[in-house]
Amino acid sequence: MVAGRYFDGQSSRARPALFSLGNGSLRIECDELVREVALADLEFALSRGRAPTRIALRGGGLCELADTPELHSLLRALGARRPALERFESHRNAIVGVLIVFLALMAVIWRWGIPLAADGIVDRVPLAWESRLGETALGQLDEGGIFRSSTLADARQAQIRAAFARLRRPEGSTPAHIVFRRLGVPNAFALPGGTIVMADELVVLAQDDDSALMTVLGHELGHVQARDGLRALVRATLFSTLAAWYLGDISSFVASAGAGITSLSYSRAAESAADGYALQLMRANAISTRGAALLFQRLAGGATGRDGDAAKGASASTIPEYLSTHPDIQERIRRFERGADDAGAARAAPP
Amino acid sequence: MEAVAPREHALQFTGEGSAYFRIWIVNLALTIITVGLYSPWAKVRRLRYIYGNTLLDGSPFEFHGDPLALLKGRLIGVLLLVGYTQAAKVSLVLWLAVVAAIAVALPWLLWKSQKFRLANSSYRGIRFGFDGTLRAAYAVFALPIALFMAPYIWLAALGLNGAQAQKPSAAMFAPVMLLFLLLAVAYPWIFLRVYRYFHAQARIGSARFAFSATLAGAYGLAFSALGLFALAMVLALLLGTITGLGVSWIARHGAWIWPGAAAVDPGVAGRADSIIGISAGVIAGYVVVLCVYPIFAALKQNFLWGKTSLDGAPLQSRAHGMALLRIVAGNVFLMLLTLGLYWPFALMRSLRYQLGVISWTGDPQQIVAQAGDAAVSATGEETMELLGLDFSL
Repeated sequence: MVAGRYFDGQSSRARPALFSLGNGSLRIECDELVREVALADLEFALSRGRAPTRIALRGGGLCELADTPELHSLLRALGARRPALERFESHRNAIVGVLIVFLALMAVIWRWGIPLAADGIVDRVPLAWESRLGETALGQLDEGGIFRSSTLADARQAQIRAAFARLRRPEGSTPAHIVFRRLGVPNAFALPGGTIVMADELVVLAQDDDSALMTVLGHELGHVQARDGLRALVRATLFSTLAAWYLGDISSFVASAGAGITSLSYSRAAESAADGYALQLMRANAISTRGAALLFQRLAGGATGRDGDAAKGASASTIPEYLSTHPDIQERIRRFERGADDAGAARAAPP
Repeated sequence: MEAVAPREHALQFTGEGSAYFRIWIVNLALTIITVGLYSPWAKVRRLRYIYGNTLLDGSPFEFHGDPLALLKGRLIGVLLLVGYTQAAKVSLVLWLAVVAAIAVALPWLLWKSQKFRLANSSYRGIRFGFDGTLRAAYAVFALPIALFMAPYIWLAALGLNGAQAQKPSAAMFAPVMLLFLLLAVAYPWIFLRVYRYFHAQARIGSARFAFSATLAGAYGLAFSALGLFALAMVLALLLGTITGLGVSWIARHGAWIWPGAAAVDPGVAGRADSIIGISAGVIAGYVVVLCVYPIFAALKQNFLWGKTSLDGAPLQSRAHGMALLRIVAGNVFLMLLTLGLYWPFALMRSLRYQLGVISWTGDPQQIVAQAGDAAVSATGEETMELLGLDFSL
């Protein structure tokens, strides 16, 4: 016998009742009423906590059963079984296992799934869209006051543009152009679609060494060619979608913060590939990359505070932005120094 | 049976984080593995747990929704979404057609999903119901949808005229701004009409809900939201400035805290650490503004439920903004700390508070079923017949 409450399905009046196993049925005794309901007509909602266990009766009626030791033997006798998933969930070790599997899945999606999906999407986006995207981004950065208009002399800008135009690139390369802006930090980056933003501060820091600037531009051209800007954007979008789904209806604040962190940088591999592109391009154009190595040294010195003189001009920022997205600066410097030797050799050799 | 004077029956929420965590994590894993196909089943399991742990007079509510019906609703949603995003690639006209089709279908979808949700909820074996008519749904939603869509249609029309070649001008955007302003001013009125439609047409068995909120009340709520927001902005500005100045001072002078600061050229540093300072200030300000949401959520819940009655007896909601803020702040902090894994515990905590402050002065013993409503145990057919569209996540 299990005590509980019976509802007839017509009214919400709770009637105290006793429940027991009948002849292949659930027997309900409630005041004057005795009702036997066949096992096939029972639907169980077994409690997983403090709420009472319910048995719904097909055709109307509901039983609420008090949680006593007898309840469990009655339920067993009635053949009530928790759904398999609920039974699975009641094991602590199973939950720990699922948690580990889930975290591993998320890691796999984050590390491989999203990059793979992003690559697939990037391949399908027409270049015209990408350019429009870049223009929109530039417009927003300009309007938002994050970029200020350049104070470089027009002649100097024209000089750099001319040198850039002289760079011979492989047949069928994505067209690109430079825009000059004041960013507050010596930096250069490629927007989606072939717009390369060059900071006045970087031009000043390069101290009229156009070979250094060309190498930096070569690096950015590497990003343009690989469509890294668009790729980063698609990845960030996919990531924030995943985060929004995972975090469900938690404030979107958390989700957007997550997206911000991932959109921070291109992957190390992308940076390295862009460096490789720059080195190759410079070699093909017989431009030394030693200037770039020097420029990076100045950037690194300014950032770490080791090189006092290098902090001159607009260099040393306390946010080593260019560096935070470009890991392992010393390795890069060495690479460009080596590249310089190659290029020097190339120049020495007759064409 | 003794005749009792009407007394308050508070809702009691018995859900527990440790139990809900199990459901949640298994749902997540299965949803990933099935590439999202499991999500309707996940949703049903989630709702069943939450309904089943919301008690009135000791009896839980129950959710009977059929996952297959939800899946169908979701597939339609996905189709609409794909149509919306892909049509734009084909032509502007096709995109406009799809947008118009969605706009026309939206009231019908909202009406269906409300019917589905309520017809699949029950208390003590008695089904909820929703008697709002489709015609009323169109009457309620037509204007807000039109107001919301008009700017897009206007801009698209400009695009059709080849105006994109011109420079954007103020004259082009003035109507858009005007429409958004109109939408903002009309918002409390729209909000009131939507909730009146959803609340006043709902019932449990034959016990009807009623919604007595007035337009003045809705605008009062909107103004208190604006006031809260203004107050938060002032506080955010103040706190943001103090934080910003403090952080940039540390960045400049605090070599003892941060050795890097000393080595930097002051002229450059001034600019760079003002960037750090501004960022810190903005973040501090953002946090203050975020605090407004729980406080407003409490006000809104009190307004909506406090103006609702069931079977002629009023409901009360006595949520305190600061209490909810404390809960939400703790939740957000712990979620950040656990990369979101605290979420199920957070949800249970806030539901325990938000539901626990709602009570009803009616008699939970005297709700009578309405003829024609499905018996609780019947599953499937009714819901499929209702098409079971549900677009909430």
